Amino acid sequence: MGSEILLKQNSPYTLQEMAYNMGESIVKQKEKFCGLEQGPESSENVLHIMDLAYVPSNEKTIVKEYCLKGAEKELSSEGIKFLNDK
Amino acid sequence: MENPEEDIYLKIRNKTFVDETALNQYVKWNALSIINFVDCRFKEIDFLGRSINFCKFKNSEFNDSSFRKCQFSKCNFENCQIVKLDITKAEFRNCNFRNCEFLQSDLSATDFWECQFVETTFKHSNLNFIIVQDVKVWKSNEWIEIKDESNFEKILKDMNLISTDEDEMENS
Repeated sequence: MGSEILLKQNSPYTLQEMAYNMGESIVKQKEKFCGLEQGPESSENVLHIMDLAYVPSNEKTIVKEYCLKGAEKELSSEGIKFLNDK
Repeated sequence: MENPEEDIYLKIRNKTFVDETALNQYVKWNALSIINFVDCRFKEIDFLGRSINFCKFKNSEFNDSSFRKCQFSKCNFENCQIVKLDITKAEFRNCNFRNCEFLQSDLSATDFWECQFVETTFKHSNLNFIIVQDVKVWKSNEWIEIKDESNFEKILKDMNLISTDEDEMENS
């Protein structure tokens, strides 16, 4: 998904905002696994895989950059792997 | 996009959507957007992973449907009955719920970001692993601000907005 599709969908969010929100959300989702019996100690020990296959080539870097910014806001940008990011 | 003017909303009134076929005619680019549904019924809909932007649902019923992994942005729900709905791993951002009832619905791993709840109840519904961020719940005459999910269920339970089978056993 790229900025053109978001516009066509009447999304209230820009591509940057959407990617940033995803980054924030990813960290919070990963934290849900922490503290479970035999679970990981921190969210950085949980790998989240994000497939950028459907992001237009010229926007993959933007999505990666803003996703990591969102994750950093939640104090953890480690443990996020991007696929098809070139 | 900015909040759309009221007059550009497509208005759909008193319609029953059974399975997703009828609803799909309003889907563009894998999204439902800027639609005002009033007195509508949604039954046995499978709407996996769709985006739902700037939609309003008023006096409407959702039954036996799946909105799993849907992304709801800037949507309003008012006087809605939400029964046996699979909304696992869905995302609600800047959405408002007023006088709604979730009954026997599965909301596990669903995100609520900057949403507002007024007189909205969750009965026999699964709220495991939900994410809550900057949510407001209306209590009597003031907003209760909830920063994260750690006390969301407790606050709603204290306000009798959440009930489980066990609660009803205790009260009977």
